Amino acid sequence: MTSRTIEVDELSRVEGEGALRLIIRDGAVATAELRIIEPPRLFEGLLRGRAYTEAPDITARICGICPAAYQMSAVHAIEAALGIEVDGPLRALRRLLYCGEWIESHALHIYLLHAPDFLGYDGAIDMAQAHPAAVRRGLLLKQVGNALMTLIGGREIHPVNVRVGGFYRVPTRAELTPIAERLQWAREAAWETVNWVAGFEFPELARDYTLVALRHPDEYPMNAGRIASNRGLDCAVADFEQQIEEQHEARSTALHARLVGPAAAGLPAAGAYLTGPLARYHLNRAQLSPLALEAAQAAGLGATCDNPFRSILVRAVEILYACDEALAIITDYEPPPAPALLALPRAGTGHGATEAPRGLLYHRYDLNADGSIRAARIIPPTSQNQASIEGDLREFAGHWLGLPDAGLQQQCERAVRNHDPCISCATHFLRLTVEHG
Amino acid sequence: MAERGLVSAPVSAPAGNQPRCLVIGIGTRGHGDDGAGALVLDLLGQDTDRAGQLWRRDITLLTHPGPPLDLLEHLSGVNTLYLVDACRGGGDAGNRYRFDLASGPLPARRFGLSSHGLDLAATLELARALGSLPPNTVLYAIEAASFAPGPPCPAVTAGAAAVARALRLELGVEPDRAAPVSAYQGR
Repeated sequence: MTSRTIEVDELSRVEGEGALRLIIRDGAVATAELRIIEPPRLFEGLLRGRAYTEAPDITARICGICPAAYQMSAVHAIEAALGIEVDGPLRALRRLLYCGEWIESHALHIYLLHAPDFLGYDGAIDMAQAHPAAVRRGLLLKQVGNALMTLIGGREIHPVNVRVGGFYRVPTRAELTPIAERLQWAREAAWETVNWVAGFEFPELARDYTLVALRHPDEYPMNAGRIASNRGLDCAVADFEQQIEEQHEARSTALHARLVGPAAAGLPAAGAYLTGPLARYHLNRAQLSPLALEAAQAAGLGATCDNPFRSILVRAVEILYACDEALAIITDYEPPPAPALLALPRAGTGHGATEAPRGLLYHRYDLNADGSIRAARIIPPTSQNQASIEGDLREFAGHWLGLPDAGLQQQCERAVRNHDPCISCATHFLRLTVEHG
Repeated sequence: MAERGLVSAPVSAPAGNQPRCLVIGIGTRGHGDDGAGALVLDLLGQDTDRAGQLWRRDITLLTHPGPPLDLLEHLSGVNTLYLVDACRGGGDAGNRYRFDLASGPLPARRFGLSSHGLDLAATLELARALGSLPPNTVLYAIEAASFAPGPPCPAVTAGAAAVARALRLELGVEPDRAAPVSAYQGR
């Protein structure tokens, strides 16, 4: 028996600290492991005993690239527990904040982290020397997303203007006018981005994913909808925990989530599923704006996309959609009578799920009568995607076994970067049980 | 609400095409020694004349608590750039280093801890690749010890004061009070 082990001790161009382990026996991939080595973050424990009003600001600190997603899932879950529903212009402003996050996060990933893989560069700096105009376009797109986050959220990283019930302050119509002008430019740049990435050469890989995302009858989902899959799952957000199970794997400080119960019946890959752009696109393509749909079609995206390498195309389409959606929201915007609804404490449990740029983000909060948090559960997208990423590695690495170790390692890292993993978000506090004999 | 912004009275825009000089303090106040860059900017911001203007009208002071990559938003039209940041280089807290970016990239391992996107060293090299790096770019780094909540430790506070004095010298103010800061010689 011949054996070969590829160890990548530190993944580059992903967020957080992760590693890979690939074992090849007799010419076939025997083991493919994504090891998340970032220390546990303890956020669910930190939330216990804190006031419900603190959750948006505490959870925003989980991630520097998708803080609004954490805030949105937190406020939706807590509002569900308090029995209030935010609608009208406040709901639209939350969606506008989310547009900013999608634009800045996707632009960062496409232009600086992912595109170098397709164009044959070690990283963004090397690529910038040969493709300066493209990199400048990406940076400017990211700046537009940042500006939108700052305008609605107070600042682009860890926004401070989101509260349970709405916002601390809402913008005037006049304050939105300058960003609308920048979004018009961004819309054009997003169209060029779709065309640019459509010209990349994509490795052949067709994966039989179980795709899970929010689905909404009227809009491409950001912060509302039912949780659905391409294999029949269709449940309210409040029922999500009955459909999945999180397990600790010794190789990872992030829990692995899998579908269980009726939703998992007959599924391939032991309940592994994928959230993120491919899932959103498959389940909600009809809700894209006309221009985004036109761009998707022109780029060769059909009703579904089962090649993870082409996720960069879907992200580009989603930037275009976010620009369209942001412009539509700004056009229709009338300031609400108050920046937030009254949110009085009461005992209860609430569930929230929103679409972070890299996938479904679920929160649950159990509140005491005084509004203090009794328990919290957070299931980030990278936790949910780990099993599918390992599945990608098993299938994809098999095509490259003839490469020397360095080349095989490079291809495996590409396969991980397809999913824009946010490893820092995914690390959890692991429950420790001590048994005394 | 944004933390980023001018830390002194607004400085008049330079007339015509006069080259701009930008001083950026990187890091977040209240995060222990990570606030070293902002502290240096606070010290420089005290150097205003009776009209509330900084000593030179072509100098802009900026604090930057965000990710390094977003520094690129500020570089257009800048001829001279001074950056001040905390670093972890294995030396004693409060040690100061001066890096002249014209002579080459930063020693990346000193600035590799950024978690999202590109770290400072990579951001400055990206700017260089794009032709956006100001021709005169200097980084002052102050050795940090702790990033626990609170103000910078006494050693870093003293280091920040020394860097502020060195910057005044470089910017043409109070040359007689400048303290020496060694150019980084590599390790």
